[in-house]
Amino acid sequence: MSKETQTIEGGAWVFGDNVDTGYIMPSKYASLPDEELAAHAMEGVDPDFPKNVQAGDVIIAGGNFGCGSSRETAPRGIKQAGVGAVIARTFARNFFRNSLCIGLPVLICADADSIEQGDRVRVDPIAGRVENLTKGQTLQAEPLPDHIMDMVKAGGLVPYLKQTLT
Amino acid sequence: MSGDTATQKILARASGRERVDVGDIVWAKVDAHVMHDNQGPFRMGKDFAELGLPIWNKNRFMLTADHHNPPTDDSQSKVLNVTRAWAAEQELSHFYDAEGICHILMAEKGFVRPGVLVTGTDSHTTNTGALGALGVAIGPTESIGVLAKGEVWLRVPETIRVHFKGRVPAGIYGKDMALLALKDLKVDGAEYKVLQFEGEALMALPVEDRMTLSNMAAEFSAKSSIIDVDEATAEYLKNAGVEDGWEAVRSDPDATYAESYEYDVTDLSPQVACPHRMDNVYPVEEVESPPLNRAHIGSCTGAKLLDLQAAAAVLKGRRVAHGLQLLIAPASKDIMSKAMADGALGALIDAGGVLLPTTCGICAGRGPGQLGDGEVCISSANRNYKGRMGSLEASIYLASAATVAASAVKGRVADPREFIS
Repeated sequence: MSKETQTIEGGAWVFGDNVDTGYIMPSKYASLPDEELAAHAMEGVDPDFPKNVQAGDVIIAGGNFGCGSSRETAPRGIKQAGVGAVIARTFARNFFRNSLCIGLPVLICADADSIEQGDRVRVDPIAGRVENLTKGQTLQAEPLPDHIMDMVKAGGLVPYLKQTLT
Repeated sequence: MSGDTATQKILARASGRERVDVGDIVWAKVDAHVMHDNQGPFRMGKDFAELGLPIWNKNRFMLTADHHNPPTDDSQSKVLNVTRAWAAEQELSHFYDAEGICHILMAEKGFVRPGVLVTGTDSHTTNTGALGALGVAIGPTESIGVLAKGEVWLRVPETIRVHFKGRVPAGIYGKDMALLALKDLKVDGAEYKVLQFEGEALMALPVEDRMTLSNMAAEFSAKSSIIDVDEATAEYLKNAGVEDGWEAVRSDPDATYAESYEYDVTDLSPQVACPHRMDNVYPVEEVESPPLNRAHIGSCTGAKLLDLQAAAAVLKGRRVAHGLQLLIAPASKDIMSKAMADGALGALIDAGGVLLPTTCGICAGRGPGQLGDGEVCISSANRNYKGRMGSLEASIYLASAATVAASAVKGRVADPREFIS
């Protein structure tokens, strides 16, 4: 099992509905190498996010998180910035697939709204469990199909393909 | 048992099954795949090389350099050089360097045919719907899987039916119809679903303009879009070199839809999406904009030949307003050549238009003409959230190319119908 699939624990950053990938990673950074994306993560909605986010922090979002462009720099940027997982009521499909492919855990959770900014959260991506340590609540994420879980367990599409194709 | 949607049929065929139900997860064969410089070798080349597998079918794979081309800084030059080197190393026969925007090239060069599944590393891959093909966006990492295996997993989606009836009045285009529906369905209205655009008003549009709707399915967060195939589609395909080897797929009359919407366009006014969301839509007569700094006719959505012609019909013999700059970025070289030959491009340039490369340009937030702090633009492109075309402090209105042209003359958002005889 890769490090991405271990339990994640950190502070919650709460965002609203319909956060476009253009806000998660503005277009002008599209040509930057991966390691330089972190400095601009979530810049379109919170310019201070990159300097305040801590490794293992978790993004909590409303509906349709990551809508708009299918740019993979959006999940890559927040992963590089240290975000350990994204929990949302619903995801835009491109962001959801891209995140799974690069090994960023994304969990669909109908009760994501109950988590508030700064709450301490522990996430088990394999079990689909989200514990709100501040409030003492446990939320269950929507189960994902087996073939997706195989990719999650492998840590993303590339390690999964290496296991299965080569 | 109810009938099947066109999407179910396409995915059944692509996955080698008799039929599929909504919610099924299938591994489907991809008929064509496109990747571009922004979501291509720069992000996935290294991982693809490590897998050491060949491209599944180079005849059905297109790579374009359209997002960072021509480059305006060192980082873009690097992306382009990696893209070009990878195209050479892979000995690609379909690499197009600053020739046009991927979705338009896919259609023009005969990569899209009805009844099949197409994937692309861009949200506007939905553009293929106007040719009766199911186009689905993926990212560059997932593109590795498609390149290696020629297939992709998909959940069979529900379909939303959007029916346009009535007669299309002068001055009304596919863009106005797309924005009208967006106002209603909102930017998350088709999440995980396919938009089926239909009706006599929709089918009365030229195929190129039907693409404006299938393209903007992405703005509804749709998984894809589908439009029926008719004689006009067959003619378009023939001109693109696709004469046979395809079979149209239609939704059964008793297919099940998640939702149905109907609009009568007979009395429709030109529609404008106001800052900063694509569903913040009003009829043009209700929009009072501040003075415009920029009018932009560009992108895969709004710079096809008919868009340039519609803008030229408004701007011929006129000048753009003092203080406003008109930017023209045809969606492909072929479109540019045709617009040169028929005088449309000349009319736009004579009116004060500045000609830009046949690439994504400011619609991808790059290239010359980007918006500065406080600047206001009207564009025929597809997205208007903050920062899409440069500064986070700029404002973008979206409309048809004709409305953009009328607004360029007036210097504020304006109705094109008063310019059309």
